[in-house]
Amino acid sequence: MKRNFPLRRYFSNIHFAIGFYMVMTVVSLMILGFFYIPYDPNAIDIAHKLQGATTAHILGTDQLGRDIFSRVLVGTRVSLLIGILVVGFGVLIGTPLGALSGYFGGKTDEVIMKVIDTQMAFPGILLALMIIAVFGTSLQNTVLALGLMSIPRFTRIARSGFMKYRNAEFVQASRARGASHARILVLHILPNIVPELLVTASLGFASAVMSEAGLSYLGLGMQPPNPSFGKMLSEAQNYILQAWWYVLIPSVAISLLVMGFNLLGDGLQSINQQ
Amino acid sequence: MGYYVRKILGFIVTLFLVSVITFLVFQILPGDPALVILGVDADPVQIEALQRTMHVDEPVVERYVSWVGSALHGNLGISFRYQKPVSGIIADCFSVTALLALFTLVLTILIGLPIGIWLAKHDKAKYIVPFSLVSQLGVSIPSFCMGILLISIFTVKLRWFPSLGFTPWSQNPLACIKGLFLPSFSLSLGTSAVLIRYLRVSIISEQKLDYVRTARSKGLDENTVLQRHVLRNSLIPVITIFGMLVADVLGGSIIIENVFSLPGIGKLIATSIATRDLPLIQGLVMYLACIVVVCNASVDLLYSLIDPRIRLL
Repeated sequence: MKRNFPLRRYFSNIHFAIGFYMVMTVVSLMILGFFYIPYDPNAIDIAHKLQGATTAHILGTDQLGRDIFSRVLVGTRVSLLIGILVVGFGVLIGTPLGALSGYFGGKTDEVIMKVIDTQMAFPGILLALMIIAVFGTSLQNTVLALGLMSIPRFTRIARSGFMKYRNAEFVQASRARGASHARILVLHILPNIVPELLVTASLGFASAVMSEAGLSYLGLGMQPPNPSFGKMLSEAQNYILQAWWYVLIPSVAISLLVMGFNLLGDGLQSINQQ
Repeated sequence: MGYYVRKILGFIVTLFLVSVITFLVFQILPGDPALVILGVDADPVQIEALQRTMHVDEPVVERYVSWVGSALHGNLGISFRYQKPVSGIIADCFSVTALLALFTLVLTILIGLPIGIWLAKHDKAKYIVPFSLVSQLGVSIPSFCMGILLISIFTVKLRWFPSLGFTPWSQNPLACIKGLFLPSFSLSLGTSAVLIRYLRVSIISEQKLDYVRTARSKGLDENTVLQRHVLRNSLIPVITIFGMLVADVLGGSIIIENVFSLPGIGKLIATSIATRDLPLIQGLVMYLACIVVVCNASVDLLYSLIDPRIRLL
């Protein structure tokens, strides 16, 4: 590695490096899927069901004879798309709430934080389950449910960041020059907390992928026949005796994504603290 | 005294907000709730009866007050599917989930405490990277993936554990423990990784304090210093994460009970969503959220009893 390689600071952190390669493995599978998918992921071929790895089906076939590799290629799209949408939802709603809470403090802060903290009372994916129970299963509702769940983490991080800087010298200086609150919030303070928000986004991505997999496992996420890792896992569980690899493949895919983004977030955090 | 009053008030406000959120989500059902629940081609008589029991013609605030009022009397409504009181159904399932949670917490302590202490004692650079990667693995592998992998290894291949299902403690304690071991083990991997991280940091920061140097300079050996002095103090902050772990375990059990077909709250939630049994879902959500709030509040109070300094903050 060259001495002046600009990302050296990042890649010399082992967590960041490992996480980066894990995520890139999945992302490159997704990109491959846009150009080449060996079989139609939903094409049923009962004659060749539950086959092991062969040259025709490099990851074998499932209980309906569908090609598992093709389903994995398409499944990565679902996981990554949901991750991006959920994190986007969390950032767009959570950050402004946290900004108001941290910057203005007082009663605003108390009310916002009480509502945000209440969400801690709903363990795991319970809140998402409640929303899906009411609105039904669909991609939009999954994103809505998981997005609402991801708001608190962004609010908390933004709040602590804005609180830290609200009386900083550069903020007082721009206030003295007559800058509006909006200008101070967006142009002066926000850029300072972007690194912390990136860490949170990365960790939030991991938990969104994990929760989505959990919801689809329960049959409450993406609806069949669309492939998603959680659904594949719950189908595979019934064939655990005949086809162990079928269980392993979605498990590895989910874990790779979750761990990749967790490591990426951990790595970014320790790089920020240096 | 003021500290406790503030804590208890905060706890009541949280419970109130939880009930409002749970109530409101079920009020925004699109369309006529009775029609949504019973389906478009339901019997008009049934629809009318349901509308009457749901009090749809009353204003929202009144409906909320009457819902909370009856919930406080232990009446959470009637399940559509089972035609039985929701509170009774929840009580039947709760013992399974409570036992699972208890087992998981015990396993978490059995796994997390020794490893956390060992790592703090041998705080060397060469252990840190491998440890943090392994603990990441513990946190990152979803418990349901872990559960299925454990089933395929220990139940299917090695036949060490019985296949799916649950034996009540009263029938056969040994079979009960055997049946709950794999699900609680798969849940405890994630929670013990969290416990280990906190414990390690807590012990290491405690070891830098003056009183530890004094103890060492008295000539006490390292183990005595650790056990008699450091460990006691470093466990105090760790207690706070126990409230969090209870929420983690209850949240994780929603999925893991479905993986292992345990007839607990989690399994009940999944089936009640599949059958759109709204009163049951509402009752379950409210119930679980209350347990988490109560656990967190008790951990808070316990913490202030163990470490009175916290009351000054």
